[in-house]
Amino acid sequence: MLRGLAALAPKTVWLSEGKVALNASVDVVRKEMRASIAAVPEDVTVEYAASIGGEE
Amino acid sequence: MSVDPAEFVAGGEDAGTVDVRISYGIIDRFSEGLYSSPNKAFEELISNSYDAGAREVWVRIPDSLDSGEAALTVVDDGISMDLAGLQELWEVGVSHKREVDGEPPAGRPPIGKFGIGKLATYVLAEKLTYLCSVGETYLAVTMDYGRVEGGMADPSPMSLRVVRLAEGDARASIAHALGDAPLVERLFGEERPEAWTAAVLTDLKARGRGIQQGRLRWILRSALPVGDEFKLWFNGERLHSPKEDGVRDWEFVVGETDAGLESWPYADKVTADDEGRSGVELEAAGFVRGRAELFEHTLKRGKSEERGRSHGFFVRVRERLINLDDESFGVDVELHHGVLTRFRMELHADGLDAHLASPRESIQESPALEEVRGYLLSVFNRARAARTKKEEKTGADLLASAERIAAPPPALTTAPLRRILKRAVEGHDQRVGELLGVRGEEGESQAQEALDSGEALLREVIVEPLGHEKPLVTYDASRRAVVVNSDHPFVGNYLDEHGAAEPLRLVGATEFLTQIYMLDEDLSPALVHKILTRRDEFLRALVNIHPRSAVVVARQLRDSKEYEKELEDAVADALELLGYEVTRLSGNDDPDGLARSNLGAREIGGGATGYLLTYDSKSSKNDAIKAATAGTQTLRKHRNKYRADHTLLVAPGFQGADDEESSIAENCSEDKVTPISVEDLARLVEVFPFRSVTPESLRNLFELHLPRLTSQYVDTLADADAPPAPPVLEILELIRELSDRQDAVDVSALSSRLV
Repeated sequence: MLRGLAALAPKTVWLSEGKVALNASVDVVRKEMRASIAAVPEDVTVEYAASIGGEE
Repeated sequence: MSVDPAEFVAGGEDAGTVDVRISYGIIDRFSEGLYSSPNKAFEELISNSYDAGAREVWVRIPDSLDSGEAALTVVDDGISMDLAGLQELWEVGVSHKREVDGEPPAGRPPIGKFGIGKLATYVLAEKLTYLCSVGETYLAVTMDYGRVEGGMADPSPMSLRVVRLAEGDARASIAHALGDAPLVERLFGEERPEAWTAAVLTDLKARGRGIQQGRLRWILRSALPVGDEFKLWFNGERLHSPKEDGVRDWEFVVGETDAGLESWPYADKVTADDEGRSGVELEAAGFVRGRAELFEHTLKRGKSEERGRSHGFFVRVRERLINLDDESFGVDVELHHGVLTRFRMELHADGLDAHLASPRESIQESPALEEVRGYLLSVFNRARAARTKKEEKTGADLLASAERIAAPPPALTTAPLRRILKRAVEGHDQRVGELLGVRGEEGESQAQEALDSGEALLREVIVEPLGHEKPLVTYDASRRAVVVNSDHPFVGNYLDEHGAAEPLRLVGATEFLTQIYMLDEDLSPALVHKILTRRDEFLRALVNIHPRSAVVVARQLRDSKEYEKELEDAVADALELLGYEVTRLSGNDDPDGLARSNLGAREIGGGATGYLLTYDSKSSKNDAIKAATAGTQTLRKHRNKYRADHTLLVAPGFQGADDEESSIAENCSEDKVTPISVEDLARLVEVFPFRSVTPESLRNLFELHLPRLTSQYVDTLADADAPPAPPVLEILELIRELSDRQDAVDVSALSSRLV
């Protein structure tokens, strides 16, 4: 799960050697994730997209 | 040793002899080693014509110099030579210029002063024949360099036989050499000169045959004082002193302009010469005069070695150019080369005559020379200042709407862009247009319209997709905009970063202007392209070590399927993203790499469930690879070598993928290789964050050995009902909360808090 999260927001979520950290605020992480999600067909991502919320 | 006139000299009766004492050593010392090019050697002949007071000189160079009959001919209407004159001519190393009552003809100070000009012809031809016409008398004499003998200390005597020709024979002889009926008529017709001299080079040597007409033409018109008082005809074409057609922005007349300048160190040195021409009297170098000009466009076009230069400094001593190929004349203007290529200054500095080295291809360092250079630099700096001032009036550019940056001066933006855009439109070099993105008739038309509008050429910087393989930036003339390519990996990786958009746009604009600056400094378009390509590779490489998103990695896979190394890297990146610990290998007997899954213990008391797979990729420009290309037996050996559990093969596609009896299917089954297409791996990468895909769950994929089945696996995964979405917000908030207390959160601690 964390790996998937980091793959959607690799610049703002740091994951390595059993450790995880955020390199930015939660809002910025969500923004990066939304940008990644937008590039994938919606039928694959719809539930996940809902879980991170819409644009504030 | 007696030497007869050359074969082309028709008839004639003995008129006497010219005794010459000459040796190879003498010739080597005075001629061959001194002339850096055959063209310069040829120029010496014409200098002799100038010194003989000629008002017209005709040069004849045949189109083909390879024929044994080919002759190089220079005819002038200066005072000619009788027998005594010819004897003086061949007193080697002594300069007996053709003179009238002891004075130089036409009152010209001689521009050749070493008496060796004629010897320069040795590098060009075996034979040099003089045909001289004075009134009704015609004389001919030939030097045959091929018969020269003796060392430096013991030159052997030669006796050149001089013949007197009847007019008909003289006419036939010169007609044979020239092959130019109008010129022959000019020499023998009603308007014939009072005297004329023809120097005819025959039996050409390799360097003589190497004379380039274009280069020679430029040298003659640039290096010699060509004008109404000294008309030079080249194969029937009148040569003019190089004057550019371009628009002149600025002018400086030595003396006149100096006098009107304030705080100008040369203002009180203004004077005039005996002919009333204004100039400046320098302390060591003496009187100098001339003119400087600055043009709107560069004067540097084409290959200088072929066409010669029209820009820079032209320093003349007694009218003759002394820095033919040295545009800067040792003046320190390197930092402003872009100005220098639009700058032209002619300076007559006869005071440097004493410092010239034979044969006027070099000049000795001296205080006088330094003084002249200092003056040239001062004038050049005024030109540079004038250019900067003009560019600042061109109108403001709007590079960015952000208030945090200042509007850069047009001298740094619109002005250089305008110059380069013009070059692109004028079509001197198609590659300039290609670099700018000005392509085809439509592109050129838009660029021309932008130029004609007189408006600022850089209104904005736009970020929009242009294609993954396209350059970082290009120019859109219709919108007067620099376009930053959002598909470029470097841009793509930062574009969504908070606050990154503006720096990216500025980087893009800077990248574009750097390209313009390089072209404006006259770097060749090919070299500029090379530099930009390397820079682009660097930017792409930077992105490759930056953590990438699933989307970027998937795109990287799709884009690299035709390229071996790129695909190899992309597959490694994909496996890393999916959670494998990847080791990239490079040996001939190795797979592309190893991917290890460290799954840890599934449950308390359970053993480690990690597995190892070897992976290989096969790029192809085709949609599918053949079984032979797959080489599954080799892949099996790789697996065995590393005692791996599975083998992954990635390729654009597989021939017979849907046929279970195809060779590829049989081989993969036989060798336990998991074949997956690039597209399917890319899709897997894209969907894995949304389908809870892990190395553990992927183990099922590696049990499949048919292309059709691996494709179905990905289809099923993508089409399956999504698992409950993870509590992303809760996780992020928790990480943030825990991060407040420690640098990074331990994943196990996070998991325990989430349960």
